[in-house]
Amino acid sequence: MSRRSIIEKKTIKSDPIYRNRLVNMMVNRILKNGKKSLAYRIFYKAMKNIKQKTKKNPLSILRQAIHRVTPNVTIKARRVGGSTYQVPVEIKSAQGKALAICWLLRASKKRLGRNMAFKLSYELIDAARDSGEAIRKKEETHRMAEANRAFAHFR
Amino acid sequence: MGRKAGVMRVNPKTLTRKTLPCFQEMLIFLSCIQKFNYDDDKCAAEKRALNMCMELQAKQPKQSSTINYHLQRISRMMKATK
Repeated sequence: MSRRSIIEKKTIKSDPIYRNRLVNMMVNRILKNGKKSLAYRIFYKAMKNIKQKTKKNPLSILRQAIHRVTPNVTIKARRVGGSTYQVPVEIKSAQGKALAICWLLRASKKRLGRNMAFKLSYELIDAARDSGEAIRKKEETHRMAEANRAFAHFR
Repeated sequence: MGRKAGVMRVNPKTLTRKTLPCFQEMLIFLSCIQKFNYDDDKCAAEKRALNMCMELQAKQPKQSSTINYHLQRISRMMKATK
């Protein structure tokens, strides 16, 4: 944050095939070592797998999965009077989506499978069905927020 | 750097009471998910309320306190009348 100049907001690009900004967000997070074409390949293969398995629109499965994994509240550590409390705090929608994508990718990396495209597709299908590692992570976050709800006024 | 002596200034953070926006919505949502054993589908209404509250808060412009501007102005007036 500089005092002299105001930084312009970046225009969010959309995906070339699906024309979707969410897809672009996901591909950017799959990206590693500057290999964008590999990231695109992984993602589109995963979409193809989802279509083969579920016979539904893969974009709707993706949207549903991200919607289910998005957390609404999280905890933040705050020092009040010498001790550190875990205070529950709300999450903004953009942050929540980014977190959801991060968790989905992390969970799919942990899975056993032939390649990343398969792992990603299975994780997305599971998340849309309310099962899987990413959903567990979201539930755990909600659980911790609920457990510490007494400290909510310390925000 | 550093302020001159005799300048009237207050820290606006200590003066204004901290309002917690969306506090109620968050508490309602947390109690709802506890009741339904962390099943999000049953708490859709509370979730929607929380999201709408957050969006509203993001759209509202931040109100910064102008008390220091007025204090500076008044102290200058006082110096001029002395």
